[in-house]
Amino acid sequence: MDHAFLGRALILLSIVFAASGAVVGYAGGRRRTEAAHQWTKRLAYSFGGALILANVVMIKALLAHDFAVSYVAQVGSRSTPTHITIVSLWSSLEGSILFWGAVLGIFTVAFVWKEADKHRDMAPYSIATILTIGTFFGFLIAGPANPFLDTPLPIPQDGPGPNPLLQNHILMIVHPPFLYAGYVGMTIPFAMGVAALLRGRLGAGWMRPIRTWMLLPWGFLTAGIVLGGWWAYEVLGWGGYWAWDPVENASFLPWLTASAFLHAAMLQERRGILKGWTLILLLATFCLTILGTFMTRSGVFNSVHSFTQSPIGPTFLVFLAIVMVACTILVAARMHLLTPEGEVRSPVSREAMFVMNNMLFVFFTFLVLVGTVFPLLAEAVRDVKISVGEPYFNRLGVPIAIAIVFLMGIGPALPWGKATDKEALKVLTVPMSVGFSTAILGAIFGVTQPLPALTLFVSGFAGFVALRDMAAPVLVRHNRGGVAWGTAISEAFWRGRRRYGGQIVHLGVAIMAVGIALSSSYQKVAEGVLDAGQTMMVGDYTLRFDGTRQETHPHRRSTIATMTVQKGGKTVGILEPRMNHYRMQMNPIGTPAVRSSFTEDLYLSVMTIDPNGSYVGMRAFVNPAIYWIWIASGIMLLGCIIAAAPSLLFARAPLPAGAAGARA
Amino acid sequence: MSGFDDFPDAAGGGISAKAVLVGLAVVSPLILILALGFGRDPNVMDKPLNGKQAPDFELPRLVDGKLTGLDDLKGKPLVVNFWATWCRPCAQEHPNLVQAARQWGEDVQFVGIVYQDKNEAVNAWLDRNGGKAYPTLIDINAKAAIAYGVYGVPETYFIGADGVIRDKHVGPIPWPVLAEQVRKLRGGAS
Amino acid sequence: MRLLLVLMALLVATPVFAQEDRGEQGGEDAELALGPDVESTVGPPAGPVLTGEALDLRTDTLSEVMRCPVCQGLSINDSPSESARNMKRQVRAMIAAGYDDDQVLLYFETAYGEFIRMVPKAKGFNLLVWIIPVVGLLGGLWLVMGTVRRREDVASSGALPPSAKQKPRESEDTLDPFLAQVRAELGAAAASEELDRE
Repeated sequence: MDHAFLGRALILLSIVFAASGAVVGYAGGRRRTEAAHQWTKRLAYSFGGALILANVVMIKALLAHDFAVSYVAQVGSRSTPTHITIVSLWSSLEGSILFWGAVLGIFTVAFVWKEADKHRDMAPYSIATILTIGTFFGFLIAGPANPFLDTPLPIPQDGPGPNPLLQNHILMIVHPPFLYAGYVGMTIPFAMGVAALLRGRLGAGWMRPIRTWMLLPWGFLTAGIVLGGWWAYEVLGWGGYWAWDPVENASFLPWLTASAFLHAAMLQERRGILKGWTLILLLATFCLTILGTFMTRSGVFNSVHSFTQSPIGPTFLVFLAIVMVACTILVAARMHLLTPEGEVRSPVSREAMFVMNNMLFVFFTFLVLVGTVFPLLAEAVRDVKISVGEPYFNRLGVPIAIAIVFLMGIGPALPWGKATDKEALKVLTVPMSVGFSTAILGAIFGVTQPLPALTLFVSGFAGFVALRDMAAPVLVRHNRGGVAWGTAISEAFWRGRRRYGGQIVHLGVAIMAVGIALSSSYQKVAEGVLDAGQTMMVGDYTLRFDGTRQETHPHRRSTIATMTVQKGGKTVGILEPRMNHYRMQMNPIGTPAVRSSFTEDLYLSVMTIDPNGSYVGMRAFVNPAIYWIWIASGIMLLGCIIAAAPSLLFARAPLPAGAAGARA
Repeated sequence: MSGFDDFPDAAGGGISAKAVLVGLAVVSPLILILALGFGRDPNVMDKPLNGKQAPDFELPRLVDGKLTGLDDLKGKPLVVNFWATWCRPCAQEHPNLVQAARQWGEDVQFVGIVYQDKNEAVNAWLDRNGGKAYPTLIDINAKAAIAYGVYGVPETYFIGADGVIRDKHVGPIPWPVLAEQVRKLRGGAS
Repeated sequence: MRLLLVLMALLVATPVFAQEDRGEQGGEDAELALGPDVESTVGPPAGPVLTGEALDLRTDTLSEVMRCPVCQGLSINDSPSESARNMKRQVRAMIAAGYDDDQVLLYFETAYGEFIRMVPKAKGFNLLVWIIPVVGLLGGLWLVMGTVRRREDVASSGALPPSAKQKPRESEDTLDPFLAQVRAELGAAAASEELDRE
């Protein structure tokens, strides 16, 4: 089977379907005929199907080691394990764009299936917008980033295999799909926003489905970012999880604006204000995903993720420029429909806190963007390479993040509308005390540096507000209404699940803030060269080097150091950090060994190792509260699922029987 | 479910010029700055020492451990090559350097400085890859390399007789480039 | 995202990520030996001579703001690569000999360029990277105040924009000061949750 030809044909088909679907959609949206609606749907399904099939063909080619396909010749190898071969689909630029196409195809199919018939007035426009973007990516795959080219003769018998870092850890398999789902998924709410602008239907109520379709990629993106940090932590050996690398920042920027959007949309729904702002956030989020893709693939930025400069860079930049200009014109054309219907009555109100929260999110976005692109500007102006690194982002970003967490507490605590100082005091006193207590508790345990202590305060404060908000409706039902606990909980939960979802996410954020603060500020490091049998100390742990052993796989040879870990005189475990020599790579790459517990991680990284086992150079870290970060992200995802899933899975929520009489 | 005709399209209101201007004011600088990045390789480092005095090192020689510095090599233009045995491109370029040393060693002094490597491996490697045509020095803890701004191997520095660094080549040096650089060092004579 | 080492990295054998110490390890003397031309580049030592824990602490702090030229944006304190550790040794040696932070940074900058600083020197054009965010923050705060205050003036003057959408919210607003109390009653609790239902 000629995989290359089949792949090229499918990509070409996808472009045809996308382009014609876009035309039919936009034209049909204007004329609003049933035929146009149906054809838009059909073409969208076909587009999605073609791209998904193309990916299946590529996976098949990879598994069959068909080196006649250019991409397989680039990243395939007979010595890589099967699951890695599948993963190598997204290990290199061309394949990753093809994978982008698959994810877009899946989202397109899902969106058309769920929403097209529910919103017939909007559907043709939103689908057409998705397909326009799909046409662009189709052209990319068919043109500058074509993985289905024919390998020039002679066809090699074997290939170099994917990057060895992909083969080190399972997280690397999971991180890209989630991140892609987050990135690509932003296309859907963007298209819905564009449809609303084109339709001119910007009144109350159009936000709801957009919010739901934004929650989905937001959740994926959150997971993708956290998985990326977790992978960096477990694999790279420097003991950290975030380095403000340009590509890390690229993933973070749309997350910030998407979070701002979710809040601004709530504000718009309740108060009818900030309509234009909410819309701009929505459009900006998609633009930032394109910017992020540009940053990763253009080769313009100095980053470990980046590729060499290729024609794909300018293509993305031009596309980004066109999208941004088009959005500007669209918004400008509908400005008259974006007049506010309400106002913010007082600075002491939930609305004001929402406004402030949005400003901080957007400022954070701006800050990260400035720091990331400034070296480009400086180099162009001064012809000197400079770096803007971690200290810059931490110095400016950490206070902003703490302020956002603080607002996370004040916002839900204050009522809508206008609150008197007395009322504000009443709702804020207890949470503030909880915050203070948390900080004092931390100080007792040794957290005395100002920023971590402040983080404990705001997280305790905000976390308590979230818990109180979740408990209040349940308590009210049980205490005043005499409802049994179980029914009270399920009723309150089901009726207010979007708010519950949000509060759970807030809880997760509060915990994550504490985890980040503690792990950054209280890390312990120790370095040493040990002969066999020698020990070194780090924190409360004693590490003894007990020799090495070798492990040989087809694609790599590892020298593994056996380290016995003792705490308080007792042996608590054995850790095995490694130094890997990959067949196709010149430099060896180490894999750290991590022993995680709830309170702290013991992290060992090999600096130098004698294959005969006579000595090892080790760097050891004790990282407190790291696991809280991963757990917190799980909590955030749970909240997201609770908020989004029912709307996505069910067309309409059934009323719980007991609440029927309570409806006003 | 919303039907087709429930919501007619909004009445046209014209395009707000102010909004367009604000939008373009935000969009244009960003696109411009990003476009500036093309044509520059972010992984190529600056060469700040070009035109400055070469740092004076004192390193032991491989053959006898005698400390050698710039003073011992002064008077002639200098080609300093940083390399290591674990570096595959270094093996590719070494024959070029050996050839150049044999050809122009009278006028130009060649020196190799071993970077992050072990002595035993060095001797064997030299024998395998073209021989010892010029002195090799051992740089412990990369002190000299740091002073020269070396960030990987191989890197080759071309230093005039006056001790000023004329140029630096990063990566394995092809013969034409090497020949041209040496020609410039010798004052243009071929 | 997939990682791909830049093609250049395959040409120049730059050490990346966790990498073995492949060099000769000198003894303690070699650790503290100053590299070539330190004094001629940065002048005589201008700081205190440090030893022991103070030395380690200052070395770590200074190494945090120096970038490893070949790693993914890591500081030479964080990077496990051999080059980074060698650079850190040089930093330590200089501090032990009594050079201050600026001198150490100047020494490295002379060899590697401004790139070696994780945070750009706050001088000249580089100041913009600090000024722009601060201006942005002030601008943002001004916008927020505009959104919140202006409305308050409008509301207090009584000139509310008449709109059908205003009325239902109006009644919710007058309830708001008592919302905390009302929420204690089951009926209103259900009513407020109405707004969050699908």
